[in-house]
Amino acid sequence: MNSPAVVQVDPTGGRPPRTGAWAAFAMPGVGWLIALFVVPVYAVMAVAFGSVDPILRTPQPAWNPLAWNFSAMSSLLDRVLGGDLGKVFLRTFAFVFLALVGCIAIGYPVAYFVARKASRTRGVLLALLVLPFWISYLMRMLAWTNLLQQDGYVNRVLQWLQVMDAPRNWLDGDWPTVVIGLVYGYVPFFILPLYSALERIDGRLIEAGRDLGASALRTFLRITLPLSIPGLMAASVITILPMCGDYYTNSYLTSGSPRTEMVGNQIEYFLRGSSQPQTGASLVLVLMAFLLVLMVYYLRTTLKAQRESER
Amino acid sequence: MSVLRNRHGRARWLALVTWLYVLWSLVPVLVAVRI
Repeated sequence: MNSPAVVQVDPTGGRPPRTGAWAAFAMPGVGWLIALFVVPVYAVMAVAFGSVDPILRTPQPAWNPLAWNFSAMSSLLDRVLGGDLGKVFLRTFAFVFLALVGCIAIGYPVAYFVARKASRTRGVLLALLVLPFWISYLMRMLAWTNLLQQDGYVNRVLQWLQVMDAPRNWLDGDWPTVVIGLVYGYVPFFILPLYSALERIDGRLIEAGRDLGASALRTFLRITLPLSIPGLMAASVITILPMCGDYYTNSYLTSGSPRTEMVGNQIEYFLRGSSQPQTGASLVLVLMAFLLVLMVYYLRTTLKAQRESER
Repeated sequence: MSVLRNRHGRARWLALVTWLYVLWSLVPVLVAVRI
């Protein structure tokens, strides 16, 4: 019996593709980005490179780039590169690094299990993983503030288990409290992109590895882990970027202790708690520059991996 | 220790980590709102 002939249909009908019509679909997104990203960033730059009213201490933005004054930025960079703010940046990066390690340690096994191992319970688990997104981040931090108080449940349980004799004040500015708070707050953002990447891995590759005699661990290390690196990087970037600018985790969990102050706390202080809006705006730009380096590295690595996979 | 021995390749510890994480992510909020 002859098999039916396969007819290749050209969806364009032989006409050259009209890219203009398709590009129009990007216009709402482009407009959104211009209105809510480009314009606000320009406003921050205008404040950072503008001046301050000498009496009212309110910012006087310089909208004309030719009139920009870089003296505030220059003195801020001196403080970042060798002064008090340098310590805050180092502390922030250390907290973010530790929190990222925590997110990987918790998030990878969870994402891997839901994507590759859970069959009957996958739907329930996915719903439970998405559930934290329904609860405000502030609400989740406030929940921990409640639990970590001296008469809170954490101290009560630890005393009941006889781990501690006296209640401990968890909220007096200990760095582990902030790191655990960051992990708790951002690990849901880490799990979902990683789940998506792990779920897309072709199961036949893993089966082939096992059929060729590799152990489960070796198959994981040689097939699953390398194929999940792009997802791991995407998840890391998605969590690192907001963590670097986070200020309310420290504000709520350590009452804004100076020992655990992060860059976000300094920005909040300069913009709201003091009359130094120029310094605050300059600090926003410095933080953005650091994060831009990270983003460029991520994009370069992702594009390189994409090109290699297309070969 | 026979309970921990995993003869059938089932990811028991992965399941345990996942369910512990789910508890850890939801219980603090539930306790805080006194449900």
